[in-house]
Amino acid sequence: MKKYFSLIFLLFCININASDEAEIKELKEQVKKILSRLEYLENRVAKKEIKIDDSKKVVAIEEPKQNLELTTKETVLSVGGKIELDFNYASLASPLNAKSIAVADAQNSPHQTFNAANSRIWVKTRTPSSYGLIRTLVESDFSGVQGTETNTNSSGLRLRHAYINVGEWSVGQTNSIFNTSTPLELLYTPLNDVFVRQPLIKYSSKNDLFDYDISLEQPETTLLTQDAKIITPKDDIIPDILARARYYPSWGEVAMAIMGRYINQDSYGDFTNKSSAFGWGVNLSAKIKVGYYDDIRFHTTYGVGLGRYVAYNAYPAGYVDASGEIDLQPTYAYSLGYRHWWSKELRSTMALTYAGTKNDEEFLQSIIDKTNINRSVYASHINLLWTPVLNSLIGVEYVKAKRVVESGDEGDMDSAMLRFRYDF
Amino acid sequence: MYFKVSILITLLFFSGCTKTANKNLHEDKSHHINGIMLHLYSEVNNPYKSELDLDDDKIRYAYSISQAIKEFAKESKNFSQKELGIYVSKNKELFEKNLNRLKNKAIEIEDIANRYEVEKLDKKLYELKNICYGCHSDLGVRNEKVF
Repeated sequence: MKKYFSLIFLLFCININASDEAEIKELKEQVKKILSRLEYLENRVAKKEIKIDDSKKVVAIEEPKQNLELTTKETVLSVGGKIELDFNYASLASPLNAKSIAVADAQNSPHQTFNAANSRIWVKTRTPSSYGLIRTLVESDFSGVQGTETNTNSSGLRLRHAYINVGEWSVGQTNSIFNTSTPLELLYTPLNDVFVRQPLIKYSSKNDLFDYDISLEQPETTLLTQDAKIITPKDDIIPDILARARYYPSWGEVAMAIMGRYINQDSYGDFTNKSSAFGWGVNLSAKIKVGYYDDIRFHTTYGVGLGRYVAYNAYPAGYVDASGEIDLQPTYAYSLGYRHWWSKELRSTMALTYAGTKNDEEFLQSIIDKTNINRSVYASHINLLWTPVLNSLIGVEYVKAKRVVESGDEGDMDSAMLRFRYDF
Repeated sequence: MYFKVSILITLLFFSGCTKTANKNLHEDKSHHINGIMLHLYSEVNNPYKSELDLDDDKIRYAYSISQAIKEFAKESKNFSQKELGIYVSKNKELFEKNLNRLKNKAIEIEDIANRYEVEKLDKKLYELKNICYGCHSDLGVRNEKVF
């Protein structure tokens, strides 16, 4: 509008000063052209072909907050962590995981909890050396030994990571390379999670598009007995051997991990025989970008004797019969999710997850109570995550889950969470 | 039953949410860079990775951003008059100046990635955004939000 007034004023001035009729005519033509051009541009603005900001005001950008750092001549030490509070409301009092959702006649009254035990603190260092960078990390959270909710809600400090990385080698406790590389962005831990954190020795080769890792990791045999219990014989003699390849194309990320493990029991407990077997597994995961911002993520895992690597030990690597003979069983897990960005601050993920195992039918017949032997679990998640300021997260998530056990009983659970989180 | 309903809802969700198309070159490159930055920032919420793994990811994102900015600066000369002409024609000098600042920032980000100075990355990205917003302000272009 201001531009119109300016032009009218200009025309007025021109009229006053013009003495020659021809000159006035020429000037009028020019004004006509200018008005025509202005009208054209305003039409384009109206059609949003071009955008003009009258205020010319710069959008305020939030300056990032940096971690606390101490720097010597060569070493950089950083301290950080997060404060997290989860408000959880569930249709059952039992924990939401693949081996605990209550089935059949179990308690089915709703239960509400607050929990801050997922808060974390970490310290890391970085020092250059002739062998490459030396990096270390120690990280803890408060999900160790849990106290009661009656008075002080104590939560024990728990070691998460403690490892050193020198050039291409990593030694210490950290995440297994068999873990899903492109996890879903969920507030609840997926029931079918392929996730293990354990001591390891790892060699990594990093390139622009491809990464490779090979590692020797902590072995731990888990076997189902005729008492319907999962035992850990502690007779492991060979580390789990793993390899992983990751590919980072412009359209996303793909990772494949393979594993071989030696399952062994050496006359454990009352077993008269020694027995062993070779287990293996494959985990394929991917993230595919959709448009500029959204992505689809999926993973598929299959293996024989996978056991504790899937769904937090809900399924054993195999079973051991009365004489001590081991027979491994297949375990599988799949997930599919879509993450959509509503705006720079708001995003959602919707996901379906599934995990299951094939227990031996003949062996199951020898077990009287099968209500604690898991067959499968599946869940659907939907959430809305908001990042109002950098390093913060406020999120809500709803999950509906079902657990099926070998007795044929099923347990359904609905749960909703509100999370407040700040990374410092 | 609810499982089938979930699948149906997921498919519906998939079907209508992609943002593509009809962007001009400038917008296309801007969205590309913004997309990388959003993925980078959301990685902080990835509870499955250790801090050192996240550092590795941040370095990879830094290279991607640096590369994308270099392409953006290089191709900016190909932006059509229809796209930017109205803004740039009278402020070509200013535009070129901001473009050079952008290219320098891309080099700085790459240097940080080469030296693995992860702690300096956030500040550089902040400076990068300021160059973009500053250029828009100089040329009288509205600072659009991501979407």
